[in-house]
Amino acid sequence: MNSLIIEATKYTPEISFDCEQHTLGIKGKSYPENTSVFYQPVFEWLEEYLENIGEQNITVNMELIYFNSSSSKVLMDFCDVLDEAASDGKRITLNWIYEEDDEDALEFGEEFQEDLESVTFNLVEKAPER
Amino acid sequence: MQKENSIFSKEEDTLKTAESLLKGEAVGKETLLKEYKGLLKNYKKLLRQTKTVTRVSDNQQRKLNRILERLGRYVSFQLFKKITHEKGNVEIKPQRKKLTVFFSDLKDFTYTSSHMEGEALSEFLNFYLEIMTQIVIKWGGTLDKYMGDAIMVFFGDPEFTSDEDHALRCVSMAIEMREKMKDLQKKLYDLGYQEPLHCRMGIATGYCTVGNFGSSERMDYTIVGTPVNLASRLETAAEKDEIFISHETWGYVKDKVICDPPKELHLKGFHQKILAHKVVRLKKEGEDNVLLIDDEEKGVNLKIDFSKIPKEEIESIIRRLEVELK
Repeated sequence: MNSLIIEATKYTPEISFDCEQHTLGIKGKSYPENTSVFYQPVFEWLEEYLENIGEQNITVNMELIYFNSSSSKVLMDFCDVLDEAASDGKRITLNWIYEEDDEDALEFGEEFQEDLESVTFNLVEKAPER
Repeated sequence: MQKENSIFSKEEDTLKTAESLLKGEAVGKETLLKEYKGLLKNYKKLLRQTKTVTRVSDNQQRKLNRILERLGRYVSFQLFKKITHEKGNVEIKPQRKKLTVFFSDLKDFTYTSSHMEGEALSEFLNFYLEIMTQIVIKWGGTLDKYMGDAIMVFFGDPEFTSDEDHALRCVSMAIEMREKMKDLQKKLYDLGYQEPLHCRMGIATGYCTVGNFGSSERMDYTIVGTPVNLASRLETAAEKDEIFISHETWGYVKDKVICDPPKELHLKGFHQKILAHKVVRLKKEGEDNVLLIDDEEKGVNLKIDFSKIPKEEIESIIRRLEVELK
């Protein structure tokens, strides 16, 4: 299985899913013209990855500055897939990364956190980039 | 649109399954129960997600409103409307337009501010600019920029009415600013500002190029052209609490504004002498700046237009009359 790398654009986040390091990162803005088309390969990769993974610890880093409503629906589906896998015994940690002073990003993280039962969810504050 | 809906493809599949079960014949109780459980599970998930999306969306909306409120403080009211109301890219192509341009600053403020602490200076400037900006908004001027204590405003773009109206609104705005400044002087003195502060203003009308100027990184909606330089030079030439208007501006407002007779000024950057009119005040209803005595029987026919004849010449006429009477 290959890692999945999609470079960020003005409207879409950077996707860096590393199947060797077992770190899955989504970083940037997300308001694609067609949300389902953009995230389709992400879900396909994730499903294949979760089917083949064993006991390894998986770290998911989500660092989103802005996302539209359809992206938030898709990201919740993404978190649900992870949560279901975690309830089946996969060891998944999800880090919701937000910049210091970005109260909105923190609030979004808390909203996502409420919906997840089995994933280990961390709200991670990051110092602003200079 | 249809493609966009496919983010709900799983939910749509669940509905289809439920509907086909109802259409089907003789479905076993066990199958029905299994499908019902599946439907319930999906419904719960959908409700949870809907709640979250609604909250997230409301938060985004609040965030957007906050950003818009802040943006409104940094760009002119008119430009803000253009940015928020127009779809697509806001492209303001440079175009030639007749505008009335206004400049003001505080006389000797550089000297005064050199005695002030940074905090006191910023507090004062914000106080002063806030009050003056409210007057700009009231008269519908486009606030171009602040440059320290200086304010640049123009009339005629993005909203165009008529050249006369732009000039009159601009002069009226300047008069109100000057009146406000008198109130402020007392208030500032009471607040501990030792030096009385005075404004000076310059106004000019003429063709300018208006639009977005700058680089791809940073654009400024502003104007360039001779009237901009002229208004700025007239402001510099004005004494404390004076408003100098160009001859063209005067042409538009002369029936509604009382001005002193024009002066010929040598202004930097202008080869020819420039006629500048000093604004006294707005005319009252039916008021004229002309003295007219017309009595043919008594042989008197006198007309004095105070906006044209300098004070010294009137005094010389009075002296001649006094000599004649003696």
